Amino acid sequence: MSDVKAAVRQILGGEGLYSADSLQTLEEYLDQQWANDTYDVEANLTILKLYLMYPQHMKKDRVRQILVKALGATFPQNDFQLCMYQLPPNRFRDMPEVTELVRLAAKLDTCDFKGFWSDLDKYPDVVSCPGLRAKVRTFICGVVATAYAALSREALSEYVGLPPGSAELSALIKQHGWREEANGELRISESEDDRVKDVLVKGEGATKERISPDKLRTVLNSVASVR
Amino acid sequence: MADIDPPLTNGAPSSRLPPGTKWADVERDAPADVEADDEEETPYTRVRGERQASSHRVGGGGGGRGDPPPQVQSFLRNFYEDVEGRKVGNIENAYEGQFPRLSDQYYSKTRWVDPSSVSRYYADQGFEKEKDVVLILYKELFYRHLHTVGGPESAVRVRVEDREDSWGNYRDLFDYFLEVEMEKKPGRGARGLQFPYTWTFDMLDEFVYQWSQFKFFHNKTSQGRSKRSDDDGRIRFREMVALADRHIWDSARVIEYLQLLVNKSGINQYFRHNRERARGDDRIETDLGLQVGYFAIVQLLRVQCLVGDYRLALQQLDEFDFSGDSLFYRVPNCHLSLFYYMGFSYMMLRRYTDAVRVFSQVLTFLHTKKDDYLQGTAMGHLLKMKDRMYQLLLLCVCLHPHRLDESINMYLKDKHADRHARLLKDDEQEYIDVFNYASPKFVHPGYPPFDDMDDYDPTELSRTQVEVFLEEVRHQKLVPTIRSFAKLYTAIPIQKLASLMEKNEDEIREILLCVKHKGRQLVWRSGPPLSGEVVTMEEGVDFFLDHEMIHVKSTKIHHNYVQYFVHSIHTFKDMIRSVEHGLQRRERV
Repeated sequence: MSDVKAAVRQILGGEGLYSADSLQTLEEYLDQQWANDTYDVEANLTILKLYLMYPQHMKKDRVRQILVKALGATFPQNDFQLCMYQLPPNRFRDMPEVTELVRLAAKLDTCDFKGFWSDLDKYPDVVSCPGLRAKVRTFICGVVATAYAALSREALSEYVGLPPGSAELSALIKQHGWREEANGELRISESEDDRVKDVLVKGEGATKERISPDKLRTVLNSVASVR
Repeated sequence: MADIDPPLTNGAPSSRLPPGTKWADVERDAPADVEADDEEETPYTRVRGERQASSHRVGGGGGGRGDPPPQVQSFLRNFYEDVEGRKVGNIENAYEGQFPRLSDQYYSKTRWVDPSSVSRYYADQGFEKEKDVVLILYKELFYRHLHTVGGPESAVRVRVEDREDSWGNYRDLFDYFLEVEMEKKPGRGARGLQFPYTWTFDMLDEFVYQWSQFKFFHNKTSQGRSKRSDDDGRIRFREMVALADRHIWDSARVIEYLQLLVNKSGINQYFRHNRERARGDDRIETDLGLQVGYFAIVQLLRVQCLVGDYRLALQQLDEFDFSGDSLFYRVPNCHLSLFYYMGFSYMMLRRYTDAVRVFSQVLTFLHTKKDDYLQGTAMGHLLKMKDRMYQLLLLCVCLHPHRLDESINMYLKDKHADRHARLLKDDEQEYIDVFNYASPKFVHPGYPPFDDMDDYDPTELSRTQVEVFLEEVRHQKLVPTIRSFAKLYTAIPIQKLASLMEKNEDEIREILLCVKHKGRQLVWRSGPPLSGEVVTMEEGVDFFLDHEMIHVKSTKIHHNYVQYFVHSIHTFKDMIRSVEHGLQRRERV
């Protein structure tokens, strides 16, 4: 197993980086990433670039695999989008393997989380990707945490696609350190200050030029002397 | 990499001419510039041919017939002697002064003296010692000049053979760098070659440019010829396939060459070494190998950006030296390219804060330097690049509001106020226009799919870049609406906002979450350009949700008046100074 990884490192280091012969190793590595819930965007983007350079070697199911893995890295990396830059229409994009995922990714990016979960169920191969759903939930919880001060357990359950009463949901709430009150309400941020504080916008980067009072006095004096 | 030609030492430039040919014969034997490689253009090629012929008769100042003008001959002679004698100052003069001047004077509408004639000329003069290297350098100038003057509007055509020969010449040049210059140990053996920094940068820059030009030409011509079903069309199509078979300007090799130059030069180790010490090492000032490696990094950034791999583009800069005495400050073209491609990559990675930082940095620098910093042969190109950066900056701040430096704000208000207004109105066509104008010309890294040309589209990769970018624009479509509503309220129930915006509550919740989601991004702090930490946007209106209620955070913006006053004080000071100056002069009179 580590042989493949070492070979991939060598390829990414420049050895036959853009040779079609490297594809086999990189694709094997992709299988490993899938099975072991690991992720290497650089290797996967290289596969897509090789497909672009040698379209005769393009494999639809591999493209799909890469895109599914990239869904798990929606934020902050935007990996799905990075993959899309390498997938021109006609030859690569206009096939259900890809368009289905583009729609899924758009749902995540526009925060239509309910829609995401209901669509996801239509694609068993995506659902079966180890670790994917957990990663997507982490992303969603991140968005929820920046937006909400408090919300109901039901609302959260819809966002993360877990039944309200499930133990998994409770675990997720615990994992993020959110406080659950007796009425089923979740407190996301605790202090009042945190929420209503004024935003002080500091001048940054623009204050390189400074002028000392002394200099200012000279300038003002000379302004005064000209009349 | 397995496929580098043997070192150039034996590879005398191909001479199509029998020995003893005179300059005059060379001119006559040289193939006509007219070549019908684009069938559609045939009507024009005839006209072009006539123009070409007449320019030969008139002689373009004597360049057409007989020996090249004496000044050109002496240029060629001095060029050899200066390279052989390692006279950097003279080489700089030749490159930045004489060559452009002679080009304007004698070769503004024709090719320079054919390299094979130059080769024979050197042989006649008994210049043999480093003839091969000098000829490679001459050809570098020759093909660069040809690519500058040649084009559909011009009497000069860049022929397929020219492209192929120039590719071979760059390989010779890089092999020379790799196998001779980078093998040299300090203090031992022959002195290494020295070029002005601009030329070293230009060589690598031109290499990538000609690759992109070949790709455009090859993809387009292949597509055009694949549509023809007559015998001639098939033969011409096969010519295109043959170019691919011979790996002419093959993207993989272009990247591999650049990578090899970076790796073998040891430039990244040099950067690391310098970072770890308080006092920098300035070996790069005299070491051609390191300079080549340095500029090759900038070109790798560019190539990866041109093929749409923005992550890998920025990754090239992991070790790069951005300190004040870095080489790019001495080569304006390098400076602008570096920041342009870097900023563009950040923008495509949706790291708008970083893109704005990078563009602002170079644009404020240019603002303080005024335009004489950009003076030189490439000035037009650099001014255009500068304007592109302003427009990209505009895109970034429309997608992600950000405070700009005062000087940039003023420029944008002055030059692009309409554009800015249209972008803020969320005019999608405007986004497309700005993007198409300001983005680099993307290059499809592959050869066309020769077996299946039916739905081949040579512009597919650039279309993809626009489309993926627009996707982002569309996802952000309602963000400004939300912000403007948020300005009006301190608290508003989701239900009420929904009825105001004529949406259902679920949709409103999505949009609100999306605004928050888009307000966060990775922002660089220090170290490799790809690194960063998640930062929440400070600019504009902020809000949070409490169940079904939207609370708007009261935002007090503390304006930076210092900037304004400093600017005004400077202006006054200048005015007073010039008034006083005027008064003094009058008194003296």
